[in-house]
Amino acid sequence: MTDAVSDRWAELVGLGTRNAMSGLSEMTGVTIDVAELALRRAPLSEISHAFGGAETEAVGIYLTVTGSADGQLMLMYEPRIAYAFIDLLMGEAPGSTDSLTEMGRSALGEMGNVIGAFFLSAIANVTGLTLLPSPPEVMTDMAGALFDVISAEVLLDRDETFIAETTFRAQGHDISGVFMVLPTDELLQALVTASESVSLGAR
Amino acid sequence: MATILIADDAAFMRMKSVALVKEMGHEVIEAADGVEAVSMYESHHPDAVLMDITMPNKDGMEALKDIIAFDPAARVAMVTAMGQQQIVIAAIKSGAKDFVVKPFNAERIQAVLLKLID
Repeated sequence: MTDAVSDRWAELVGLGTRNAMSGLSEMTGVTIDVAELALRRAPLSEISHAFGGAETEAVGIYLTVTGSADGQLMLMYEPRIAYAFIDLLMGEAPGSTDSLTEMGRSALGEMGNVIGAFFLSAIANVTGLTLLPSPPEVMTDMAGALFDVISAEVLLDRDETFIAETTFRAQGHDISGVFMVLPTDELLQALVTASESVSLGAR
Repeated sequence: MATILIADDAAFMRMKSVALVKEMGHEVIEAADGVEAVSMYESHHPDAVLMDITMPNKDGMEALKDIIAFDPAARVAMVTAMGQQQIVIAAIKSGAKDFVVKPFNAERIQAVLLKLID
């Protein structure tokens, strides 16, 4: 990947991520800030380090992207953070949720749907591409096992991938998480090509 | 009082939408995917439909086309987090009467239902 392509991809992800966090803020009624946005190429063996190691227990919300090209989105939280989000979404007092019920799972899935859709819409509206999220899938497992799910497709023929990893924090709440974007080469190229003729700086 | 069909695969969203629409004094019927939405429309003839786009089995856009084919006067609003211009245009071209972007509030749903039912 050239520096120019990398820069353009970084701009698109930054644009999409800011919009996604705005969607999450609207949904929860709590201001969510992007604490850190890291864009890098990473080998499979290192991806789970983004979440404190392969054996860390995690809740993942997974969406695939279809349309003009394919990709994958994953939100990952420690279980206690996922439960805190459920409290927020269901209007329950903090600390009310201590396990993942079907309704809690649905609330997290909807949160993933809003984040994924806001992320993709921001990028689609700039590039003119059509990017459609799948229905969300909420999974609980060790971080390593969750990463195996999302990396299976993009890493079929290579041993590293380009990931965008966002850490966010909710103001006044002990909430943070990781939002990962794993584009296929096809999606990466389509996004960069489509965005070459537009300026992202002012958005 | 009108009968409103709410089609969304997310139980959490159905719970929220149903509560809002019932508070507005309407009767609600529910569908959990596009196939169920078409079937419910055909059997219950609701006054309006609030339909999610991203659903399993049959997505909201396909369900919209089937409902419009069955009843060209059907009053359907698409409810989705996808604010992509191309999707909005496609939904309107397929017969949707309005488009609600999630996350929504009670006022927005009320305005849409007023528009659909009137």
